[in-house]
Amino acid sequence: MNTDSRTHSPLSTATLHILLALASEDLHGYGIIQEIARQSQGSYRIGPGTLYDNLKKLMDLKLVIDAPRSSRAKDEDRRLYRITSTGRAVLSAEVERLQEVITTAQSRLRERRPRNA
Amino acid sequence: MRSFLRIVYRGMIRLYPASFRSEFGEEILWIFDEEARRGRVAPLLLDAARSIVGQRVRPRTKVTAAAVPYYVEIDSALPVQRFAQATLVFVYLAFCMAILIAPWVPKLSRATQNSWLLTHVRIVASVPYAGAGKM
Repeated sequence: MNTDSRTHSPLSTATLHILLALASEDLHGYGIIQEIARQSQGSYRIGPGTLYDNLKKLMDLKLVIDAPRSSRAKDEDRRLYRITSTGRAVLSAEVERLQEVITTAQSRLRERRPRNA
Repeated sequence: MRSFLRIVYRGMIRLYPASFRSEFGEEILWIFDEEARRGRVAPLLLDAARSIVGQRVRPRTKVTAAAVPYYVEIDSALPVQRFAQATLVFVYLAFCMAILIAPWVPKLSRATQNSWLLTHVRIVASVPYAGAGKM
């Protein structure tokens, strides 16, 4: 993983979920909110304020862009958002980092001996 | 009730910075309508309040990376800091003015010399009253 993708780590919870929601398909704002609720089994919900606050930051960093109009269905007049290749790289770097954290945590927990053993 | 909350929410959207509001304001309101239909309004109001504070405060607390710590943009300073800086400049200018006008103070009329303002200017400038020696 290149160092440029690592500079954005660690991502905030909202940013991570937004990038994850956009990883599989282009979505509009409300679609992102619904996808986040679905992928977290309803345990994490974000409001429109937090969503667009983070989307603006992601768009400024060119991690997310507007999906071109030609790719939208004719009846779909809502603005769609798309993850860029850089955004995908940042998401991969974050997932890799989280995997390292989990691996370390699991090995530490296995190493720890019970006090009264 | 829902329409009243919608008016409140619309008012809250107006508190966002103009550029953000023009870009996302309509979509935010659309999501509010969708969520209101499902009866989830209260969390949206809290979310908007938190987001507005973030949008308003973040640009002001961001320090310019290029010339830190020798240079700070005026706009990046907090209002309290700006007010303190302005007060300091005002006090400095008032002090300089007091020193500059001090030599002319004794030439003013007796009625003017006894005025409250000039008495304080004399104290600040630490220049003795011209007629003090004759008394």
